[in-house]
Amino acid sequence: MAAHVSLCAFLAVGPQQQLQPSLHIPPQAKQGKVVVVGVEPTYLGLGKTGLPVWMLVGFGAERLGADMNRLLALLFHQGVLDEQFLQLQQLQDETSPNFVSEVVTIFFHESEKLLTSLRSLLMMVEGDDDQDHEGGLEYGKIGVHLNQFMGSSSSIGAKRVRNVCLAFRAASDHHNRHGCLRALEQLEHEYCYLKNKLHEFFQLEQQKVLAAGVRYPMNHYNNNNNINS
Amino acid sequence: MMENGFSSPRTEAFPAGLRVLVVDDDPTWLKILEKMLKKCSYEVTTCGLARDALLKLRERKDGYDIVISDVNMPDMDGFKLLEHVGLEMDLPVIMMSVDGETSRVMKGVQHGACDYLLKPIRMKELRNIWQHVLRKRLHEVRDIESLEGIESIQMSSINGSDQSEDAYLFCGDDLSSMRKRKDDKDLGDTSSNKKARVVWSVDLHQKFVRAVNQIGYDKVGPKKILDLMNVPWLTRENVASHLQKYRLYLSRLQKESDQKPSVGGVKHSSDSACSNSAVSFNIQSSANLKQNDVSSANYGFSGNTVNVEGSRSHDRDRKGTVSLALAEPQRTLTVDVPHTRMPKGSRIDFSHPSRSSKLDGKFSALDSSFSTPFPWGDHTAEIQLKQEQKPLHLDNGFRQQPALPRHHQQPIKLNCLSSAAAVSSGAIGIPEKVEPLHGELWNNVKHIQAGEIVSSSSAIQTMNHTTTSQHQVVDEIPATTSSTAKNQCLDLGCIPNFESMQRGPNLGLLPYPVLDEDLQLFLIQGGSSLGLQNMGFPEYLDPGLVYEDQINLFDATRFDRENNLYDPTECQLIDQGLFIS
Repeated sequence: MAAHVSLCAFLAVGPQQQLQPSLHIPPQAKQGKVVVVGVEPTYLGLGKTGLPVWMLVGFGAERLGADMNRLLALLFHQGVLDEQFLQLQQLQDETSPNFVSEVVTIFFHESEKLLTSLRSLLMMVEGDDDQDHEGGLEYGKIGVHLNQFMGSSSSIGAKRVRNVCLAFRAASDHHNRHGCLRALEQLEHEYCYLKNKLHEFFQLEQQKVLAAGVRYPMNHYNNNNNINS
Repeated sequence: MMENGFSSPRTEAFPAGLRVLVVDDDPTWLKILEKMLKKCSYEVTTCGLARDALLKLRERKDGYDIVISDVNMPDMDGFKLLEHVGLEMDLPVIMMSVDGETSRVMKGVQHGACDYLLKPIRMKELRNIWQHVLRKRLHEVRDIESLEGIESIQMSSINGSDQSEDAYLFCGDDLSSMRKRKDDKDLGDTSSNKKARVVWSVDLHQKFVRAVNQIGYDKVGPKKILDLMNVPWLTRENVASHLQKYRLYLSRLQKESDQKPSVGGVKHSSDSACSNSAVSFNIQSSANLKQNDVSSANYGFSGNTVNVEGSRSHDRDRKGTVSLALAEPQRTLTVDVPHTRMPKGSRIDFSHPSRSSKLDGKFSALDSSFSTPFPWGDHTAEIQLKQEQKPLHLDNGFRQQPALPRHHQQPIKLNCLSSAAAVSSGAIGIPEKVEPLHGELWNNVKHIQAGEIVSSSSAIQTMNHTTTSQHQVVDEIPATTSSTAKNQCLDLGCIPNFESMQRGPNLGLLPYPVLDEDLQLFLIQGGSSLGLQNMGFPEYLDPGLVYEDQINLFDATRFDRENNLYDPTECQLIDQGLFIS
């Protein structure tokens, strides 16, 4: 059993490291149940993966998958994401295994640019003396940026972000600076929340990939080790 | 372009390998669309800028099958890009946008978009885009074929009316050979196109339109246009094919303005989305604008032109040209056209209305003009107009007709026959008896859905039956009077008209000369027996059946042996195909 664990850890880590055989695995783990062992990774000398041991045992993938689904369900329920995100997931396949995260990364990149522009435009509207005249131009640009933002948020299914953009655009159409400021703040808030959640989601996905990848070589090494030990 | 692409290797796996150019300023969408299209087994090229897209399109003229573009591009308006692509490359273009507002969608369609997708775009929508490519190719094939048919008819009609029948038969018989020729032509065209494809830029097209207007649309010919345009590198063939497309376009505008709502609905429900949306927009607007008067129909047409063309500069040319023709009040070019699939009727219509030699001039105008694809309504309207002019006994009969409901697809035949009856009866002053028969006939016609050729043939038969009864009634009339003299008078009056009608831009209407004979027989005989009249009708009927057979050879859209009887489903072709040689 110890050999079993150590081999998992070895594979998960990458860089070759010797494992302390003194790791204690609770009996439930041996039987394949998911157990949080509560062992510090460093104690295992696993290096930088930061994966808890139970993941390395090969249970992680399912658990992580469950976590991901739970997170997605929450985001759906909150209206943060809609079915377009699922469509993206369906597009992901062997030829592009990281498709969703790549798209989302592009989205984040574009969104941050847009948010910066929006903020600076609104500040310009604020700073102008001749608001009526200049404001029109700024509001026009704000509208254009918002259209872009709406387009890209619809691409990944960021429903709440898109809705805030709609409200923002309405305020900007009416040259309502105060409304625009509020909408901008709300937009930034929604965007940050979405970004955090999606980061979390992709982290889980990464870990799941790692955890799932652990299983395969394990058997091979198991055989070897069994021979040795 | 794979115009004859049905034989090319790629089409065997069609629609896989479809070459799509995606243009969008949003990189997330570019990535997503690329992935989606690849999943559909399409070949994808992406572009972040409209100018890049145009560059790519220009450097490989035949490099793409379809373009998908976002409406909101930073460097160029999506609609402008749409126009350019249509102008230069004649590719189907699909617009995309977050904004699904109807006005925007309409604008896209008016600018020639095959489809307008709303973001977020679903896979199933992308899976279907190959239909637009296929549809476009088919329409081009059909257009060229029909145009070939028309040209041959025109040529033969120039030779003389006697040969009109021959021309018609020629066209009908040669349809299959025309098709073959078309394939060859396509192959030839494709090969020659690959060598030097003429780009009909806006400027070039404007020169073209100016030349056409200068010459006069009815007298236009490729050689004349070429001379006037004074573009050294342009060949007669380029101009000829462009002229074909121009005529197509104009006739399509005409038809759109003339479409009735019910008919439009019937017809276009079966059409593709692209043509549907475009045409139905126009039909709706035309339906709204349409009245039962010539004048208001004229308005409707002009109004439609505006709707169709929107802001395109060359459209103004077209509109101007169209308005020119429409300006003349006598031209019932824009009167309600019931159904687009009844070219048969339209032919007869052409033959019929000319009740006087005066009409010959108008006929030539009708002939050459881009109007009246299916002037069923025209006929009655024209009669209406002309009646005031002609102090003939004929007027009696004809006056009855405008009173009849006009939204029927086969008033022509009825009018022909009924007017024949009316002629004799009108002279005798017994219109009342004929009127109920008219009503009867009309009712019969009403029940006939003239959507199909088959139904029209049945209509002929129906008419045959009803008109025999009609003639029975009418027949009594001559019997009661000393009709010979009157008949002769009518004869003289009528027959020259028929002859002149024949000589008019008769485009090979087969039943037409036969009808002439019938009437002659009828009129001359005066109080002849029913039998004779009955004989007349079977005669009439047979050519009608023959006619129908030959019609069956054609697609409905290819009825356009006359100048401009084009299927409104090809309306899209105009916007995109007009400027390509």
